[in-house]
Amino acid sequence: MEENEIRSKLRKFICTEIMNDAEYPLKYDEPLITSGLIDSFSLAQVGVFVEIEFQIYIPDPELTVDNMNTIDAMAARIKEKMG
Amino acid sequence: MIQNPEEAVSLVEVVRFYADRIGNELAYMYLVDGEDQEAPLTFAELDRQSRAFAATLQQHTKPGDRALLLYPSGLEFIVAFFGCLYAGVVAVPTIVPHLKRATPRFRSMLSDADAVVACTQMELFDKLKLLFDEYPEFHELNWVVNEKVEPGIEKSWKEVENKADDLAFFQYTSGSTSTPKGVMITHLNLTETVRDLQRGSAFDDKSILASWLPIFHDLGLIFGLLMPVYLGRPSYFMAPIAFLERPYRWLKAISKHKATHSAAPNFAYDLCVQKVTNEEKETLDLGSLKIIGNAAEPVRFETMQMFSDAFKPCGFDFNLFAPAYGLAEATVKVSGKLCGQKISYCILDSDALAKHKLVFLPEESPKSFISVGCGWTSIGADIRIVNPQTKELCAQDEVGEIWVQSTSVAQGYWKRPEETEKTFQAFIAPTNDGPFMRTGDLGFIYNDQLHITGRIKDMVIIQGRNFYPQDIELTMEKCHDALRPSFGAAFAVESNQVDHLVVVHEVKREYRKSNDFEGIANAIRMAVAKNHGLRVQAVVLIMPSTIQKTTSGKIQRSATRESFLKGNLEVLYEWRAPGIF
Repeated sequence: MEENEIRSKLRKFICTEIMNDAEYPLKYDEPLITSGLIDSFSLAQVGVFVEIEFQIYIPDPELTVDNMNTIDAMAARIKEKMG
Repeated sequence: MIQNPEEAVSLVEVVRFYADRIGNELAYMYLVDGEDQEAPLTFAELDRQSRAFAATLQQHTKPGDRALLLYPSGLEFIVAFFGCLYAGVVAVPTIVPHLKRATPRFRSMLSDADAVVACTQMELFDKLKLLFDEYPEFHELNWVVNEKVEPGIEKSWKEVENKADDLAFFQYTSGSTSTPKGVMITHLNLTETVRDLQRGSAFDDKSILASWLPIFHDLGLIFGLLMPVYLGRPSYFMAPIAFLERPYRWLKAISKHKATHSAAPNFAYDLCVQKVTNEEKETLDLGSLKIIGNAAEPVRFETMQMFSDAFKPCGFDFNLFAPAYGLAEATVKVSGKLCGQKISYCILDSDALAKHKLVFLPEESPKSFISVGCGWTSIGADIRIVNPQTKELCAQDEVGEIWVQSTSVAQGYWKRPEETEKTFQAFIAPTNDGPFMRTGDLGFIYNDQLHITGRIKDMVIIQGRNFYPQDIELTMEKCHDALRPSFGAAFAVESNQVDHLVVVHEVKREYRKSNDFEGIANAIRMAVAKNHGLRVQAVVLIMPSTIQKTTSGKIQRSATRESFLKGNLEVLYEWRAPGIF
């Protein structure tokens, strides 16, 4: 899967399921948690979505604000795990 | 005016005292970005702004009324909290609600607290406006916003005489979602707890505190923000998110501001070990520290060892750690290691421990467990180990429930006389000694140290957050039609020194030949993550009528957990996170 496809799937999930705002023009490099768009507890939801959608697992120590603050950062990590 | 903070009945007198003596000195420094952007507040300004806030509150309240405090970390919260004390109004600090949708927990807290006023700051108020349709109670409240407090209004503040037994604030930190419990804290509870923390940690007129802990949480509020005021000393604090984003910032704040005191739950020390790089370590000097608390979740010997090894080059020493134990029902502290004391620990046989018996071992083995001493009280609290069934005192080699009688024990749960009596009015058999507060935690006393071994209740603590299994079970049964209501269990399982959430659920008879078990399990994982901010690390779907229940129909979580560990469940489908179990 291309990184762009990963990004767009993440964006759709975050906007519709977490932010409840499907129309929000979320940018790939936009800070999510440090800007307050989503709270850090929402990372659990992102983690489960990633597990189910991409069939990879991100362990707790990696599911942190500094690693997962933008869609770009999430996608890079997912891509790396998918090998 | 008082001559000495020791005489103070409430913290109002303490702030007034220091505003008069050392008004221009720093009371708080909020580290806005967790690094160099600083917002200071002196004692004189704290006093003036608290009077102005109190005067505004007095327009809408009478003493004893309740005020919700909805704040992100920052100076505005501190002014509002002291403003409440200055107005004799009961402060109710709470977690900021989810800004996109209503949550059951916040809703039940809101109706339980019966507040007259809600206080917040401008930026958050603008966001909260979107929630007014979700929470009808918001319309009934008078809103006080820091930025809208009238300049000069402090002159119309009417001084209130706070008595020792008057309520100072509520802590909504315990109880499951369906029954939130507001722990009632008096001025005496608060001043005594501050004295307990101050004596135990040897916080003196040269000390400096650094904290990243949540302001609405007992440890962050009382240790992080209120104890330093008692000595007229500054607290440098940042938002939890600043720490979580970059744990280095906490240690850097200690280093930069030469902090002598700090505290955090155990997981924070693990996070520092994982996240702080060698280059970052070179910029850290932790030599100013006198003591650093480890509290609010189980204290692990191995974590403290790893942290000490990792930060030894920065001047850190193992014995700076102060393992401590407490709960909201005791304001915050029951016991803590004294400053300067060495860490006390013992090695126990795990099998015996599971049967609540103490068998001490000379050295570690695969079946041993290192138990860390969590110190003792510094205000003469009466701490006993009691058999929770017979209510008789335990023998020295037995583990029992920790019971406490102390000036720091709260008055009970707001508007809940039955639960209050059950928890706060316990008497030891057969002597009828009491009343004691039942902590619900299990432990023992060894070498004058209180040790904690677990909980009677099934509460699960993960990353310093408390979860009630019944809340998670309710989320599960609602998330998919295939799940049989009231036939699921949630519990914690330890692996690699960390507790993980595991759930087991029966499916309904008509679904036992389903070809989409994976979909059912995925629905559970997603729903729990969404409602609790927590990942399930194993899901087991089992045959109908096979989960263990008591004769009265209650789920037996520990028996189900046991079956999970032994592989005795009648499994239809199972998913486990890789690399954990």
